[in-house]
Amino acid sequence: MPPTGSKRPFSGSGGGGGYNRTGPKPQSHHTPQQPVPTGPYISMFTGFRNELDEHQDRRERIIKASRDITAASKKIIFSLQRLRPTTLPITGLSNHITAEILQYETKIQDLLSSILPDLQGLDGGRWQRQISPGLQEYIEAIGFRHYLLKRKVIEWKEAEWYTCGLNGDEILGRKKGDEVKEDVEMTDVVSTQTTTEVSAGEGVEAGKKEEEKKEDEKKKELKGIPLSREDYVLGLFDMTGEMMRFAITSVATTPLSQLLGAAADSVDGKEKSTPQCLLQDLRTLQSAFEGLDLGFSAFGKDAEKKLKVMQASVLKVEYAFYGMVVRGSERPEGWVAEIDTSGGPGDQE
Amino acid sequence: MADLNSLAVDGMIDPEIFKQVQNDIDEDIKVRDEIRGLLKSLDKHDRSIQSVLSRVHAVPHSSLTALLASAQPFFEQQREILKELDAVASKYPYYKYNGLWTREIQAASYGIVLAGWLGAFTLEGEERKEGHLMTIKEVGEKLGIPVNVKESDVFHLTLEEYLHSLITMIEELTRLAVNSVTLSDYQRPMLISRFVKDLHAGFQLLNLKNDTLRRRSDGIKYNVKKIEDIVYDLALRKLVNQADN
Repeated sequence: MPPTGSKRPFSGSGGGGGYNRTGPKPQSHHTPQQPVPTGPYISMFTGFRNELDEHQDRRERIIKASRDITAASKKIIFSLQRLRPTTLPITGLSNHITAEILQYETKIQDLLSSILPDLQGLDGGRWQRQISPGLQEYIEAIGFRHYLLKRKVIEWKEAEWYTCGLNGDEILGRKKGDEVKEDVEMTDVVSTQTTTEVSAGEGVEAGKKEEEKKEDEKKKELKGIPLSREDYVLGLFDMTGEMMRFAITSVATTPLSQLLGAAADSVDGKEKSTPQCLLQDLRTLQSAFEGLDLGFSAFGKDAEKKLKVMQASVLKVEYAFYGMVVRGSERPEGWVAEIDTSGGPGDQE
Repeated sequence: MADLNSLAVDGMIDPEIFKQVQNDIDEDIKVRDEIRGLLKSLDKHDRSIQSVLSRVHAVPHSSLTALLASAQPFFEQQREILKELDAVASKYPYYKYNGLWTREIQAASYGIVLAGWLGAFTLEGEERKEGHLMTIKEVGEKLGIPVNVKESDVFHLTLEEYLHSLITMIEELTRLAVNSVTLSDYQRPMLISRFVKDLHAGFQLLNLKNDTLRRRSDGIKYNVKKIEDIVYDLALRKLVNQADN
């Protein structure tokens, strides 16, 4: 049998090979003869079409924004995971990490404000499912940052302040001299000095002021993107996966002598090592989440799945501790492990 | 900056957060249960209406007016239930719970468009005439709910739900065309044929995304073909004079 014969059983006409697809486009010459539809309901349905198209376009814009927000949020998380040393609380992010995050967060805020008009009134609820993956991922990122800086779980109100899409200027420190909202951790993003640096770097700000004012007026009429409690909770669930990764890195990079510094004797949390704190916080969160009665809605099912992932995360950290206790003493003095903290079931969207 | 030890350990989570979340979940479950309760009785009325209307396949033209009149009380009861549903549902973002009732609302809209086509809503004194397409606005008036709302977040009949109900009607009219022939009514299939073709032309204008509406709308052509076959059979046997139509 010739060797070419068996490879292409369906290639149709023999001989020439597989490149016979470059003919004239089929049926393209038919289009001019397309008749104009007529009938009693044509105008009614033309109206329907315009309306459905409008919905469809809106839906696609939102899905696209949601995806891009997810991608940028993941990058923020990666930046945060690169923080060293892994000692909590982190008293301020180094400049280059701040700059990295700022770049991504600018993108997120711009995206959020760009889809604001598509999410007004009725449309806010209508496209909730389309936007919520992006919102959840962003909450995961800001929640994680909030936790690293303050060792606290971000509150719903504050999370919404970030995700509503109205506060981009304040979040990114684009405007100077505005009254700072009290419950806002501007330090998370940019300390005051870096704000000025960044604004100066962008330079064009001043010239754009007039335009911005007009835009602001327009924006004031727009309502922010509502953050559902569901998205908030699901974002927090995902955040525990990041805490797990951070904790594993922390366990691996903390010298054994400090790791179990105040293991058994201190109950009040004093002098605990960072990994111990992380584990403790994870457990606190775990028990809080386990205590929720989730119900059987779509959210309940989603949350149930994430709860399993979270329980696995806690186990992983516990096992890391176990490993250090059992085998850690065999390590040479000062040896610090390289641990791959990527992957695992915590990696879900 | 605060150092590690000064942060209260248990203060990591404000317990209020989880209390709030639990409240929201509980509230959500309560609302869903309340809506489901109303939907049960709405479903019952949908079925009553459909059971009355399905007798259209078996009754001759002459007794159709009486048949349609017997459906009227059900329509009125349906309006009452819808009013209750409206009162509950309008308290919450429309699309949050829309999935719960969309099937029942489609069925309600279908009842109206089919009855309207059969001439159930002709004014008193006027003769019943078949073949009228109820617009979405007319359906809303009959159901007593707003339609195709774009701005305010209230309970309403959506455009998609209306379109679904039109497709269901097309399917039902196809069956009616067959049964009309059996009842020796040879004119009605001609009327149905023209009507369904016109509607089909309308549906073909729509750019539907890949969802159930798209799939169902793609199926209209089979109904068109089936009705055409009936018209062909009638014409072949000279049971209708095509020139009249």
